[in-house]
Amino acid sequence: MVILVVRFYQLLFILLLLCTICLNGCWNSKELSDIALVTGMGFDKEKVDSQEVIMTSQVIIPKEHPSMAGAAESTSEENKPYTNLTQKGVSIFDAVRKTNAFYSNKQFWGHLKTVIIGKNAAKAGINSYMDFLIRDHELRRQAYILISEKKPETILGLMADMELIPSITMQGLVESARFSGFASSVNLQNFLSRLMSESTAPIAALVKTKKHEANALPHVYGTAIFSKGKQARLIGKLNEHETRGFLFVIGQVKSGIVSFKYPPTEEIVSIELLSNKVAIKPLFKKKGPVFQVTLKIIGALGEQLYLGDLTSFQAKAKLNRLFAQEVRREVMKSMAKAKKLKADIYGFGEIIYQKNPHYWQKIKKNWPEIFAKSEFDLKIKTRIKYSGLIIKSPISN
Amino acid sequence: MEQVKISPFQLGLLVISIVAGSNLAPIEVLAKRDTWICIIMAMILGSIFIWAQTTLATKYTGKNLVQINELIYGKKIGIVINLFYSWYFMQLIALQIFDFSEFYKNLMLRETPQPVIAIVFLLLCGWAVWKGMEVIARCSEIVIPIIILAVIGTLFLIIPNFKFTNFLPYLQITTTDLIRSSSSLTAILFGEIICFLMIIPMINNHTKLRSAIFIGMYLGGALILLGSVYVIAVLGNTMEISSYPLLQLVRLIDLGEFFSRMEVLVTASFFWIIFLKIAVIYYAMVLNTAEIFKLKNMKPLIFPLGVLGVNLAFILFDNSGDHYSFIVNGYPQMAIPYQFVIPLISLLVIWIRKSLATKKEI
Repeated sequence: MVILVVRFYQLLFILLLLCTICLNGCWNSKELSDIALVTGMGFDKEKVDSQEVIMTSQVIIPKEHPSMAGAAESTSEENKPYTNLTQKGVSIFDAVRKTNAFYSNKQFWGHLKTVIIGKNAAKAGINSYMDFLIRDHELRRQAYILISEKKPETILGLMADMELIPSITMQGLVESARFSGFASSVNLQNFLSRLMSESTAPIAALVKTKKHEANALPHVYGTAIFSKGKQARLIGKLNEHETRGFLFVIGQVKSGIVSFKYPPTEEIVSIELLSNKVAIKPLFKKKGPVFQVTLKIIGALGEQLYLGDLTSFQAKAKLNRLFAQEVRREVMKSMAKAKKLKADIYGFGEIIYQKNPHYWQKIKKNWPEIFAKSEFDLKIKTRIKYSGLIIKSPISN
Repeated sequence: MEQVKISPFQLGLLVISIVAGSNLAPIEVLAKRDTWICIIMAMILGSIFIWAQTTLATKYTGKNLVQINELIYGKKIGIVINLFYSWYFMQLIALQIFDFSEFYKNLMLRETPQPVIAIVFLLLCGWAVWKGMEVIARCSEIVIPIIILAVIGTLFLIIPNFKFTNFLPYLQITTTDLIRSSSSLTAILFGEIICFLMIIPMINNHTKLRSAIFIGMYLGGALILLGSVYVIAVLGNTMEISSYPLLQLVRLIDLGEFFSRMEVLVTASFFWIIFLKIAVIYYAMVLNTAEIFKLKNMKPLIFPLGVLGVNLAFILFDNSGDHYSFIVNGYPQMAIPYQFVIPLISLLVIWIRKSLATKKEI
C-alpha cells in the first residue's frame, strides 16, 4: 500500500490549481457577440405637450456589414447593417428598457455617436433627456447632439454613400462641418456646460434631409438656439452664414471659405480661413455693458474669378477691407438674431461674471434684456497670408 | 511583537498613499472653483496637525501611540483613549471600504454585489497586514511611482480641453465656506496621518522621521491639488453634479480616437493606492487593539476586526448620498479630536509636567 504524504504546500498548490478551473472569467462578462451596439438614438414627442417620449435606438448588425466576412456584397434595403427600433415610454430609461424586449442581446451604450432630437421634443424642452444621457455609466459625453425638423427615425434611416450606418455618418458630418464653419458641433459635455451656466444659452447643430437623385441625404447645418430657464426650449435657429458669424465670435472657426464680390466688377474672390483668434473685453458703463470684440483672422487666397492682379499693395489692402467687411456682415447678422431672441449664445454673461462679479450680481436678474440692448464694438483685423501656387490669374486684363 | 524595520523613504511613500488615497472623497463639493485655494489652506492647517503628531512621536522615540497615551494619561484613562483610537481606525476603514466598493460597483463591476467587492478587497488588505508592515512598505515602493506616472501621464492627454477662464472669478467663496471646506479637507486628506503614530517606532532612522512625513504629505497634497486643478479647468461648472469628477474628466479624453477610454488605467491606479491606504490603517488598527490588550501576537485579531470593519461599513451608510453628507457635515467634527485635539492635549500635559518638575528642582 502506498501512503501518500502530502505536505501542506503541496496541498495548497493543488487547491490553487483547482481554483483556476472554477475562478477564471468574469462575473458579468459581456462578449462582443452578445451585446447590441447602440450607435445612435433619437427622441421625439407626438405633440409638443404630450407626456410620452418616442425613443428610437439604432443598433449595428455586424454580420451584415460589408467589412465582415460572409456579408452580402451589396447592401440593399433588406440587408442593411443596422436596425432602428422605435418605442414609446414615459421616460427615456423606460423606453430603453422596453426596446430590450425586441433585441435578443443587451444594448450597450458605450459607443453612442449621435443623439437626434425631434422638433416637438426640442420645443417642449430637452433638460429631461439630458439626465439619462449624463447619468448612465455606459454613455460618454462625446456624442453629438443634433436637432431635426423631421422625425428622428427618418434621419436615422438615411443611407449615405461613404458610411453605411446613419448615426456614424451623422457624426462624420458634424465633424466635417468644422471645416466649413456652417454648423456648430456640440457634444453632450459642451451642451451640459452651457445648460448649467447662469447666462449662456444652450445650442446644438441642426440636421435636415436633402434630395439627391432618387434618395435623400442627411445634411448638417446651422445652429439651434435654446432658451435659458427651467426648460431649455428651442426658440430659434441660425442659418449657415449666421452660424459662421457666431462661431467667429466664440473663436471656433477652424476653416471655411469666405466669398465676396470684388468691386467694381461683379466677379467673386474666395478666401480660405486659416485661423481665427478672438479677444473679448467688457467695459462696464452706467447704461449697460459694452463689449469690445477683436477678431484676428488669417486667410489665404483660395480662388479668384476676378481677372486682375491681387498681389499689389493697393489690391491687397482693398482685399483685406472687403474680407473684413464680409466677416463683419456675418457676425452682425448673428448678433442681430441673438439679440432678437434675447439668447446670450456667446457667453458674454459669463465673461462679465468672470471679470466683475459684483457688477454681474446687479445685472444678473434682467440679463436677457440687458444683453438685447448692449452694444458691441467689433474690430476685425484680417491678414491674407498665402496665395497658393500662382501669383495672379492666368489671363489677366 | 514582531521586529520590523522600514526606511524613511518607504514611510514617505506610505504617507503619499494615505493622502492621495482620499481622491474618491467629495473634494470639490463645498468650494467648487475655489477648491484649489482650500487645498492650499488645508496643507497649511495640515502642517500644524502633523507638527503636533510628529512632536508627540519624537518626544517618546521608540514608543507607539498606545504606549505614549498610557505613559501620559496613566493606565486607566490611557486605555479608554486607546480604545477610542481603535474605534476611530475602524471607522476609517469602514469609510474607505464603503467608498471604494461603491465606486467599483458604480463604474466597473455593475452586477457584482457591493459586499462581495468590499470583502474580497478587505481580504487582500488583510493578507498584506498578515505579512506585516515590511511587505506593505516594499509594495509601496513599486506601486506609488507607477501610479504617479500613470495618473500624470493620463491627465497630460486632457490638456487640449483646458479652459483657464473656469478659474475666474477668484475667491467668490464666503468666508464660512472657506473655513468649513479647508477644515474638512484637512481632516479628510491630512489628518489621517495620525495612524502613522503606530508605525513610526518601526522606522530605522529616527532623525529623518519628520522630513519624511512632511515631504510625503506635501507630495500627496500636490497630487490632490493637481487633480483638482484639472477638474476645475476641464469640467468647469459641470463638476458640481459629478459623483466622481476626476473620473468624469478622464472619460472625456479622446485624442485622435486612439487615446480614449483611459478610465480603466485610472481606476486601476485608484485600486492600488486605496489598497495601500487601507492596508496601513488596517495594520494600525490591529496593532493598536493588540497593544491595548497586551497580546504577544497581533495576527489572531486581523480577521475578526476586518469582519467588523466590513459590517460597520454597510451599517453606517446606504448609498453615496448618505456618505457624502456625512463626510461634508459630520466627519471633520468627528475626526479632528482624534487627529489634532488629543495629540495637542498630550503635548500640553507633557509641557505642564516638565515645567512643574523644573519648578520643584528650583
